[in-house]
Amino acid sequence: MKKFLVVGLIYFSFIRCSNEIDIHVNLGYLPVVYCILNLNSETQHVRVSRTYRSDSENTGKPPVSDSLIIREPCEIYIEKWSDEKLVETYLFTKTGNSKDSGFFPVQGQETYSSNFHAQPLTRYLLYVYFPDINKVVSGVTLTTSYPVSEDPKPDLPRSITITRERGYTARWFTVRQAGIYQGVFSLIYLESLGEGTTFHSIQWFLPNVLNDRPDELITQEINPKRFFDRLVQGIPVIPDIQRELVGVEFTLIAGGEEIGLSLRTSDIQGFSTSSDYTNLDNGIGLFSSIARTHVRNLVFSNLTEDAICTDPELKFLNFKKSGSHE
Amino acid sequence: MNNNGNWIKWLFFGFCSIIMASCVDNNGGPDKPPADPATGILEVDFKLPPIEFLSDSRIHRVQLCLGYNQDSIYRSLFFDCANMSDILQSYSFILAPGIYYYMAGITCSAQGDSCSWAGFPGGRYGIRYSITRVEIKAGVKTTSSPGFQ
Repeated sequence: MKKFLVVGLIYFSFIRCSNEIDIHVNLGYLPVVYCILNLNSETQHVRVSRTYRSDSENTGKPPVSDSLIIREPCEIYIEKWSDEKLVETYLFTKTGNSKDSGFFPVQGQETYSSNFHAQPLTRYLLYVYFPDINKVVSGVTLTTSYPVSEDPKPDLPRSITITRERGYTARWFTVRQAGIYQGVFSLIYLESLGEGTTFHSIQWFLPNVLNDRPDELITQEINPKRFFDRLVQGIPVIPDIQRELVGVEFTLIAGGEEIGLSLRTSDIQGFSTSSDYTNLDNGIGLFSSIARTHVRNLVFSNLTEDAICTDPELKFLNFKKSGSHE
Repeated sequence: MNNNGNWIKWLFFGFCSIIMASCVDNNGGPDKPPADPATGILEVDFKLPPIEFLSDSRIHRVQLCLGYNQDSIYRSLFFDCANMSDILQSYSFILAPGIYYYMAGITCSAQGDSCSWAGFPGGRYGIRYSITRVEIKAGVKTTSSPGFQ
Protein backbone atom coordinates (compact mmCIF):
# COMPACT_ATOMS: atom_id res chain seq x y z
CA MET A 1 0.00 0.00 0.00
CA LYS A 2 2.84 2.36 0.93
CA LYS A 3 4.52 1.51 -2.35
CA PHE A 4 1.41 2.54 -4.32
CA LEU A 5 1.16 5.76 -2.30
CA VAL A 6 4.81 6.68 -3.03
CA VAL A 7 4.47 5.84 -6.74
CA GLY A 8 1.22 7.82 -6.89
CA LEU A 9 2.79 10.87 -5.23
CA ILE A 10 5.76 10.76 -7.62
CA TYR A 11 3.38 10.45 -10.59
CA PHE A 12 1.25 13.43 -9.50
CA SER A 13 4.30 15.54 -8.78
CA PHE A 14 5.20 15.33 -12.50
CA ILE A 15 1.78 16.47 -13.60
CA ARG A 16 1.67 20.28 -13.63
CA CYS A 17 -1.09 22.69 -14.36
CA SER A 18 -0.52 24.62 -17.59
CA ASN A 19 -2.35 27.63 -18.90
CA GLU A 20 0.17 28.46 -21.62
CA ILE A 21 -0.84 28.75 -25.21
CA ASP A 22 1.12 26.75 -27.68
CA ILE A 23 1.88 29.45 -30.12
CA HIS A 24 3.64 27.16 -32.57
CA VAL A 25 0.64 25.19 -33.76
CA ASN A 26 1.36 23.67 -37.12
CA LEU A 27 -1.57 24.51 -39.36
CA GLY A 28 0.14 24.12 -42.70
CA TYR A 29 -0.19 27.85 -43.26
CA LEU A 30 0.67 31.07 -41.49
CA PRO A 31 -1.65 33.91 -40.58
CA VAL A 32 -0.90 37.09 -42.50
CA VAL A 33 -1.62 40.23 -40.52
CA TYR A 34 -1.24 43.81 -41.66
CA CYS A 35 -1.74 46.79 -39.38
CA ILE A 36 -0.42 50.23 -40.26
CA LEU A 37 -1.41 52.66 -37.52
CA ASN A 38 -2.46 55.91 -39.17
CA LEU A 39 -1.53 58.86 -36.95
CA ASN A 40 -3.88 61.12 -38.93
CA SER A 41 -6.94 58.95 -38.43
CA GLU A 42 -9.35 58.27 -35.58
CA THR A 43 -9.89 54.70 -36.81
CA GLN A 44 -7.24 51.98 -37.08
CA HIS A 45 -7.54 48.81 -39.14
CA VAL A 46 -6.12 45.30 -39.08
CA ARG A 47 -6.39 42.95 -42.02
CA VAL A 48 -6.16 39.22 -41.43
CA SER A 49 -5.55 36.57 -44.02
CA ARG A 50 -3.32 33.55 -44.51
CA THR A 51 -0.50 32.32 -46.68
CA TYR A 52 -1.21 29.93 -49.50
CA ARG A 53 0.84 27.31 -51.21
CA SER A 54 1.02 28.08 -54.88
CA ASP A 55 0.62 25.36 -57.43
CA SER A 56 3.95 25.00 -59.20
CA GLU A 57 2.15 24.46 -62.51
CA ASN A 58 0.17 27.68 -62.13
CA THR A 59 2.97 30.10 -61.27
CA GLY A 60 1.89 33.66 -61.97
CA LYS A 61 -1.81 32.88 -61.92
CA PRO A 62 -4.05 34.22 -59.16
CA PRO A 63 -4.73 31.74 -56.35
CA VAL A 64 -8.04 29.96 -55.83
CA SER A 65 -10.45 32.57 -54.55
CA ASP A 66 -10.83 31.32 -50.98
CA SER A 67 -7.29 30.12 -50.36
CA LEU A 68 -6.35 33.39 -48.62
CA ILE A 69 -9.27 33.44 -46.22
CA ILE A 70 -8.55 32.36 -42.70
CA ARG A 71 -11.55 30.42 -41.33
CA GLU A 72 -10.68 30.44 -37.67
CA PRO A 73 -12.30 33.25 -35.63
CA CYS A 74 -9.89 35.64 -33.97
CA GLU A 75 -9.78 38.28 -31.26
CA ILE A 76 -7.66 41.34 -31.94
CA TYR A 77 -6.46 43.98 -29.58
CA ILE A 78 -3.71 46.59 -29.40
CA GLU A 79 -2.05 47.74 -26.22
CA LYS A 80 -0.60 51.19 -25.75
CA TRP A 81 2.45 51.29 -23.50
CA SER A 82 4.22 54.21 -21.90
CA ASP A 83 7.20 54.08 -19.53
CA GLU A 84 6.97 50.29 -19.39
CA LYS A 85 3.35 50.52 -18.21
CA LEU A 86 0.21 49.43 -20.01
CA VAL A 87 -1.82 52.58 -20.58
CA GLU A 88 -4.78 51.42 -22.62
CA THR A 89 -6.13 48.44 -24.55
CA TYR A 90 -8.11 48.84 -27.76
CA LEU A 91 -10.35 46.00 -28.93
CA PHE A 92 -11.00 45.53 -32.62
CA THR A 93 -14.29 44.48 -34.15
CA LYS A 94 -14.93 42.91 -37.51
CA THR A 95 -15.83 45.61 -40.00
CA GLY A 96 -15.87 43.98 -43.33
CA ASN A 97 -14.44 41.77 -45.94
CA SER A 98 -15.11 43.77 -49.05
CA LYS A 99 -13.37 42.77 -52.18
CA ASP A 100 -9.91 44.14 -52.77
CA SER A 101 -8.48 44.99 -56.15
CA GLY A 102 -5.34 43.75 -57.83
CA PHE A 103 -3.76 40.32 -58.02
CA PHE A 104 -5.92 38.92 -55.21
CA PRO A 105 -9.50 39.76 -56.20
CA VAL A 106 -10.84 37.86 -53.23
CA GLN A 107 -13.97 38.31 -51.22
CA GLY A 108 -13.70 37.57 -47.56
CA GLN A 109 -10.33 38.84 -46.36
CA GLU A 110 -11.33 40.09 -42.97
CA THR A 111 -10.80 43.64 -41.81
CA TYR A 112 -11.10 44.64 -38.17
CA SER A 113 -11.29 48.21 -36.87
CA SER A 114 -11.01 50.12 -33.64
CA ASN A 115 -11.61 53.79 -32.95
CA PHE A 116 -8.59 55.41 -31.36
CA HIS A 117 -6.03 58.03 -32.22
CA ALA A 118 -2.52 56.62 -32.36
CA GLN A 119 0.14 58.86 -30.84
CA PRO A 120 3.58 59.56 -32.30
CA LEU A 121 6.67 57.98 -30.75
CA THR A 122 4.56 55.60 -28.67
CA ARG A 123 4.95 51.87 -28.19
CA TYR A 124 2.02 49.70 -29.32
CA LEU A 125 1.67 45.93 -29.07
CA LEU A 126 -0.59 44.00 -31.42
CA TYR A 127 -2.18 40.66 -30.54
CA VAL A 128 -4.24 38.50 -32.88
CA TYR A 129 -5.54 35.52 -30.93
CA PHE A 130 -7.13 32.47 -32.58
CA PRO A 131 -8.98 30.76 -29.68
CA ASP A 132 -10.00 27.64 -31.62
CA ILE A 133 -6.40 26.73 -32.29
CA ASN A 134 -4.75 28.50 -29.34
CA LYS A 135 -2.53 30.56 -31.56
CA VAL A 136 -1.36 34.15 -31.04
CA VAL A 137 0.24 36.37 -33.64
CA SER A 138 1.92 39.34 -31.99
CA GLY A 139 4.06 42.30 -32.85
CA VAL A 140 5.38 45.53 -31.45
CA THR A 141 6.00 48.92 -33.02
CA LEU A 142 7.21 52.32 -31.90
CA THR A 143 5.21 54.79 -33.97
CA THR A 144 6.82 57.33 -36.24
CA SER A 145 6.62 61.07 -35.60
CA TYR A 146 5.07 63.59 -37.96
CA PRO A 147 7.42 64.60 -40.78
CA VAL A 148 8.46 68.24 -41.00
CA SER A 149 8.42 69.94 -44.39
CA GLU A 150 11.05 72.64 -44.83
CA ASP A 151 10.26 73.53 -48.45
CA PRO A 152 7.46 74.17 -49.00
CA LYS A 153 7.05 75.60 -45.51
CA PRO A 154 3.55 76.08 -44.12
CA ASP A 155 1.96 79.53 -43.70
CA LEU A 156 4.68 81.64 -45.33
CA PRO A 157 3.59 84.00 -48.14
CA ARG A 158 5.80 82.34 -50.74
CA SER A 159 4.85 81.31 -54.24
CA ILE A 160 6.18 78.33 -56.17
CA THR A 161 7.75 78.92 -59.56
CA ILE A 162 7.98 76.05 -62.01
CA THR A 163 8.66 76.90 -65.65
CA ARG A 164 10.29 74.98 -68.46
CA GLU A 165 13.63 76.36 -67.24
CA ARG A 166 13.09 76.25 -63.49
CA GLY A 167 12.24 73.28 -61.32
CA TYR A 168 11.38 73.15 -57.66
CA THR A 169 13.26 71.59 -54.77
CA ALA A 170 11.30 70.00 -51.95
CA ARG A 171 13.20 69.69 -48.68
CA TRP A 172 12.42 68.09 -45.37
CA PHE A 173 14.11 66.79 -42.27
CA THR A 174 13.93 63.13 -41.39
CA VAL A 175 12.26 62.29 -38.10
CA ARG A 176 12.58 59.64 -35.40
CA GLN A 177 11.19 56.13 -35.95
CA ALA A 178 10.51 56.67 -39.65
CA GLY A 179 12.11 54.57 -42.37
CA ILE A 180 10.52 55.79 -45.56
CA TYR A 181 9.18 59.08 -46.93
CA GLN A 182 7.17 60.22 -49.88
CA GLY A 183 6.14 63.69 -50.96
CA VAL A 184 2.97 64.29 -52.98
CA PHE A 185 2.09 67.54 -54.72
CA SER A 186 -1.55 68.19 -55.58
CA LEU A 187 -2.46 70.88 -58.04
CA ILE A 188 -6.01 72.11 -57.52
CA TYR A 189 -7.89 73.77 -60.35
CA LEU A 190 -11.38 74.84 -61.33
CA GLU A 191 -13.15 73.66 -64.45
CA SER A 192 -15.96 75.71 -65.99
CA LEU A 193 -18.07 74.28 -68.76
CA GLY A 194 -21.37 75.97 -69.54
CA GLU A 195 -23.11 76.76 -66.26
CA GLY A 196 -21.23 74.39 -63.99
CA THR A 197 -17.96 74.89 -62.15
CA THR A 198 -16.20 72.00 -60.44
CA PHE A 199 -13.01 71.54 -58.44
CA HIS A 200 -10.43 69.04 -59.63
CA SER A 201 -6.94 68.05 -58.61
CA ILE A 202 -4.02 66.24 -60.10
CA GLN A 203 -1.26 64.61 -58.06
CA TRP A 204 2.33 63.93 -58.74
CA PHE A 205 4.26 61.66 -56.47
CA LEU A 206 7.91 62.14 -55.67
CA PRO A 207 9.98 58.94 -55.50
CA ASN A 208 10.19 57.11 -52.18
CA VAL A 209 13.13 57.98 -49.95
CA LEU A 210 14.42 55.25 -47.66
CA ASN A 211 16.14 56.76 -44.64
CA ASP A 212 16.03 55.68 -41.00
CA ARG A 213 18.38 58.30 -39.55
CA PRO A 214 16.67 61.28 -37.88
CA ASP A 215 17.46 64.98 -38.40
CA GLU A 216 18.90 64.63 -41.91
CA LEU A 217 18.00 67.07 -44.65
CA ILE A 218 16.43 65.38 -47.67
CA THR A 219 16.15 67.26 -50.95
CA GLN A 220 14.16 66.17 -53.96
CA GLU A 221 14.04 67.98 -57.28
CA ILE A 222 10.88 68.38 -59.28
CA ASN A 223 12.04 68.21 -62.82
CA PRO A 224 10.11 70.86 -64.82
CA LYS A 225 9.74 68.61 -67.84
CA ARG A 226 8.20 65.84 -65.71
CA PHE A 227 5.89 68.38 -64.10
CA PHE A 228 4.63 69.64 -67.47
CA ASP A 229 4.38 66.09 -68.86
CA ARG A 230 2.28 65.06 -65.84
CA LEU A 231 -0.16 67.89 -66.55
CA VAL A 232 -0.39 66.92 -70.23
CA GLN A 233 -1.01 63.27 -69.36
CA GLY A 234 -3.28 63.80 -66.38
CA ILE A 235 -5.66 66.54 -67.53
CA PRO A 236 -7.95 65.74 -70.45
CA VAL A 237 -8.33 68.11 -73.37
CA ILE A 238 -11.99 69.19 -73.45
CA PRO A 239 -13.09 71.72 -76.08
CA ASP A 240 -14.64 74.96 -74.77
CA ILE A 241 -13.67 74.26 -71.17
CA GLN A 242 -12.18 77.04 -69.03
CA ARG A 243 -9.70 76.13 -66.35
CA GLU A 244 -8.27 78.18 -63.53
CA LEU A 245 -5.44 77.31 -61.15
CA VAL A 246 -6.55 77.51 -57.53
CA GLY A 247 -3.54 76.38 -55.57
CA VAL A 248 -1.12 73.67 -54.61
CA GLU A 249 -0.92 71.34 -51.63
CA PHE A 250 2.03 69.32 -50.47
CA THR A 251 1.65 66.17 -48.42
CA LEU A 252 4.69 64.63 -46.80
CA ILE A 253 4.21 61.04 -45.68
CA ALA A 254 6.49 59.27 -43.22
CA GLY A 255 6.25 55.50 -42.86
CA GLY A 256 7.52 53.58 -39.85
CA GLU A 257 10.92 51.93 -39.73
CA GLU A 258 9.31 48.55 -40.38
CA ILE A 259 7.88 49.68 -43.72
CA GLY A 260 11.29 50.98 -44.72
CA LEU A 261 12.93 47.72 -43.67
CA SER A 262 10.43 45.62 -45.55
CA LEU A 263 11.08 47.62 -48.72
CA ARG A 264 14.80 47.47 -48.18
CA THR A 265 14.91 43.71 -47.65
CA SER A 266 12.69 42.68 -50.48
CA ASP A 267 10.46 43.96 -53.17
CA ILE A 268 7.04 43.33 -51.72
CA GLN A 269 5.31 41.12 -54.24
CA GLY A 270 1.80 41.60 -52.97
CA PHE A 271 -0.42 40.95 -50.04
CA SER A 272 -0.15 37.42 -48.69
CA THR A 273 2.96 36.44 -50.57
CA SER A 274 5.97 35.60 -48.49
CA SER A 275 8.40 38.47 -48.25
CA ASP A 276 11.72 38.42 -46.48
CA TYR A 277 10.70 40.81 -43.75
CA THR A 278 8.10 40.55 -41.02
CA ASN A 279 8.00 42.05 -37.56
CA LEU A 280 5.32 39.66 -36.30
CA ASP A 281 5.84 36.60 -34.15
CA ASN A 282 4.06 33.41 -35.16
CA GLY A 283 2.77 34.92 -38.38
CA ILE A 284 3.86 37.13 -41.19
CA GLY A 285 2.95 40.65 -42.12
CA LEU A 286 3.66 44.10 -40.86
CA PHE A 287 2.82 46.15 -37.81
CA SER A 288 3.94 49.70 -38.32
CA SER A 289 2.69 53.28 -38.58
CA ILE A 290 2.27 56.14 -40.97
CA ALA A 291 2.02 59.91 -40.45
CA ARG A 292 1.18 62.71 -42.85
CA THR A 293 1.94 66.40 -42.74
CA HIS A 294 -0.06 68.67 -45.04
CA VAL A 295 1.16 72.02 -46.31
CA ARG A 296 -1.92 73.73 -47.69
CA ASN A 297 -2.75 77.03 -49.38
CA LEU A 298 0.36 77.16 -51.53
CA VAL A 299 0.22 79.24 -54.68
CA PHE A 300 2.00 79.26 -57.99
CA SER A 301 3.69 82.44 -59.13
CA ASN A 302 2.34 84.35 -62.12
CA LEU A 303 5.29 83.00 -64.10
CA THR A 304 4.08 79.44 -63.57
CA GLU A 305 0.46 80.32 -64.30
CA ASP A 306 1.53 81.99 -67.54
CA ALA A 307 3.78 79.08 -68.45
CA ILE A 308 0.89 76.63 -68.00
CA CYS A 309 -1.38 78.90 -70.02
CA THR A 310 0.93 79.54 -72.95
CA ASP A 311 3.11 76.44 -73.16
CA PRO A 312 2.73 74.85 -76.62
CA GLU A 313 1.93 71.45 -75.11
CA LEU A 314 -0.40 72.78 -72.41
CA LYS A 315 -2.32 75.58 -74.07
CA PHE A 316 -5.00 73.09 -75.24
CA LEU A 317 -5.95 72.59 -71.59
CA ASN A 318 -7.35 76.17 -71.60
CA PHE A 319 -5.93 77.45 -68.32
CA LYS A 320 -6.48 81.16 -67.71
CA LYS A 321 -3.54 83.51 -67.83
CA SER A 322 -2.48 85.11 -64.54
CA GLY A 323 -4.35 88.31 -63.79
CA SER A 324 -7.33 87.22 -65.88
CA HIS A 325 -9.16 85.68 -62.91
CA GLU A 326 -12.60 87.07 -62.31
CA MET B 1 57.44 50.11 -88.90
CA ASN B 2 58.51 52.36 -85.99
CA ASN B 3 57.06 55.47 -87.62
CA ASN B 4 53.87 53.61 -88.34
CA GLY B 5 53.65 52.60 -84.64
CA ASN B 6 54.18 56.23 -83.49
CA TRP B 7 51.48 57.40 -85.82
CA ILE B 8 49.00 54.92 -84.31
CA LYS B 9 50.11 55.92 -80.79
CA TRP B 10 49.51 59.64 -81.44
CA LEU B 11 46.18 58.86 -83.04
CA PHE B 12 45.21 56.87 -79.93
CA PHE B 13 46.30 59.71 -77.58
CA GLY B 14 44.42 62.22 -79.70
CA PHE B 15 41.29 60.10 -79.60
CA CYS B 16 41.56 59.71 -75.80
CA SER B 17 42.01 63.46 -75.27
CA ILE B 18 38.89 64.16 -77.34
CA ILE B 19 36.94 61.65 -75.24
CA MET B 20 38.30 63.16 -72.00
CA ALA B 21 37.49 66.70 -73.12
CA SER B 22 33.91 65.73 -73.88
CA CYS B 23 33.50 64.57 -70.27
CA VAL B 24 34.32 67.97 -68.78
CA ASP B 25 31.24 69.59 -67.22
CA ASN B 26 30.75 72.95 -68.85
CA ASN B 27 27.23 73.50 -67.67
CA GLY B 28 28.14 76.61 -65.75
CA GLY B 29 27.19 76.04 -62.15
CA PRO B 30 27.09 79.00 -59.80
CA ASP B 31 30.82 78.81 -59.05
CA LYS B 32 31.95 78.52 -62.64
CA PRO B 33 31.82 80.92 -65.54
CA PRO B 34 28.71 80.32 -67.64
CA ALA B 35 28.95 77.87 -70.52
CA ASP B 36 27.79 80.53 -72.93
CA PRO B 37 30.50 83.24 -72.95
CA ALA B 38 27.85 85.75 -73.98
CA THR B 39 26.12 85.44 -70.61
CA GLY B 40 27.02 86.26 -67.05
CA ILE B 41 25.93 85.02 -63.63
CA LEU B 42 24.06 86.98 -61.02
CA GLU B 43 24.56 85.49 -57.60
CA VAL B 44 22.31 86.98 -54.96
CA ASP B 45 23.71 86.53 -51.49
CA PHE B 46 20.37 86.76 -49.73
CA LYS B 47 21.46 87.33 -46.15
CA LEU B 48 18.69 87.86 -43.65
CA PRO B 49 19.14 91.22 -41.98
CA PRO B 50 19.50 91.31 -38.19
CA ILE B 51 16.34 92.80 -36.77
CA GLU B 52 16.18 93.97 -33.21
CA PHE B 53 14.00 91.88 -30.87
CA LEU B 54 13.44 89.19 -33.52
CA SER B 55 15.28 85.87 -33.54
CA ASP B 56 16.73 84.72 -36.88
CA SER B 57 14.35 81.79 -37.01
CA ARG B 58 11.40 84.22 -37.20
CA ILE B 59 12.62 85.96 -40.35
CA HIS B 60 12.14 84.22 -43.70
CA ARG B 61 13.00 84.84 -47.33
CA VAL B 62 9.81 84.89 -49.37
CA GLN B 63 10.59 86.45 -52.74
CA LEU B 64 13.45 86.99 -55.16
CA CYS B 65 12.30 88.04 -58.61
CA LEU B 66 14.02 89.68 -61.57
CA GLY B 67 12.76 92.45 -63.84
CA TYR B 68 14.21 94.37 -66.75
CA ASN B 69 13.58 97.78 -65.20
CA GLN B 70 12.20 99.46 -62.11
CA ASP B 71 8.80 99.94 -63.66
CA SER B 72 8.38 96.24 -64.38
CA ILE B 73 9.43 95.46 -60.81
CA TYR B 74 6.76 97.77 -59.39
CA ARG B 75 4.17 96.16 -61.68
CA SER B 76 5.29 92.64 -60.68
CA LEU B 77 6.16 91.87 -64.30
CA PHE B 78 9.05 89.57 -63.54
CA PHE B 79 10.84 87.38 -66.04
CA ASP B 80 12.22 84.95 -63.45
CA CYS B 81 11.71 84.15 -59.78
CA ALA B 82 13.73 81.82 -57.60
CA ASN B 83 12.04 79.46 -55.15
CA MET B 84 12.86 80.70 -51.68
CA SER B 85 14.10 78.65 -48.77
CA ASP B 86 15.18 79.33 -45.22
CA ILE B 87 18.06 76.94 -45.76
CA LEU B 88 19.58 78.41 -48.93
CA GLN B 89 21.25 81.79 -48.80
CA SER B 90 22.71 81.97 -52.30
CA TYR B 91 20.61 82.10 -55.49
CA SER B 92 22.03 82.20 -59.02
CA PHE B 93 20.66 83.36 -62.36
CA ILE B 94 22.32 83.10 -65.77
CA LEU B 95 21.63 86.30 -67.68
CA ALA B 96 22.55 88.13 -70.85
CA PRO B 97 24.75 91.19 -70.24
CA GLY B 98 22.80 94.27 -69.24
CA ILE B 99 21.13 96.13 -66.42
CA TYR B 100 18.60 94.26 -64.26
CA TYR B 101 16.61 94.91 -61.13
CA TYR B 102 15.63 92.36 -58.55
CA MET B 103 13.08 92.50 -55.80
CA ALA B 104 13.78 90.61 -52.58
CA GLY B 105 11.16 90.08 -49.92
CA ILE B 106 11.35 88.92 -46.32
CA THR B 107 8.61 88.19 -43.82
CA CYS B 108 8.26 87.69 -40.11
CA SER B 109 6.56 84.79 -38.29
CA ALA B 110 6.84 86.00 -34.69
CA GLN B 111 3.78 86.03 -32.47
CA GLY B 112 2.05 89.07 -31.03
CA ASP B 113 2.97 92.53 -32.26
CA SER B 114 6.70 91.84 -32.66
CA CYS B 115 6.44 91.84 -36.45
CA SER B 116 4.67 95.21 -36.47
CA TRP B 117 7.34 96.68 -34.21
CA ALA B 118 9.99 95.30 -36.56
CA GLY B 119 8.44 97.20 -39.46
CA PHE B 120 6.63 94.41 -41.28
CA PRO B 121 3.49 96.01 -42.71
CA GLY B 122 0.37 94.39 -41.32
CA GLY B 123 2.32 92.53 -38.67
CA ARG B 124 2.78 88.77 -38.86
CA TYR B 125 3.55 87.52 -42.41
CA GLY B 126 3.70 91.07 -43.71
CA ILE B 127 6.45 91.48 -46.31
CA ARG B 128 9.32 93.96 -46.42
CA TYR B 129 10.76 94.50 -49.89
CA SER B 130 14.06 95.68 -51.25
CA ILE B 131 14.86 96.56 -54.88
CA THR B 132 18.43 96.35 -56.11
CA ARG B 133 20.00 97.31 -59.45
CA VAL B 134 22.72 95.08 -60.91
CA GLU B 135 24.82 95.13 -64.04
CA ILE B 136 25.70 91.80 -65.61
CA LYS B 137 28.78 91.45 -67.78
CA ALA B 138 29.56 88.62 -70.16
CA GLY B 139 31.58 85.80 -68.63
CA VAL B 140 31.56 87.42 -65.18
CA LYS B 141 29.87 86.38 -61.95
CA THR B 142 28.34 89.37 -60.22
CA THR B 143 27.52 89.02 -56.56
CA SER B 144 24.90 91.23 -54.97
CA SER B 145 23.03 91.39 -51.69
CA PRO B 146 19.62 92.95 -51.13
CA GLY B 147 19.78 95.97 -48.85
CA PHE B 148 17.00 96.00 -46.29
CA GLN B 149 16.65 99.18 -44.27
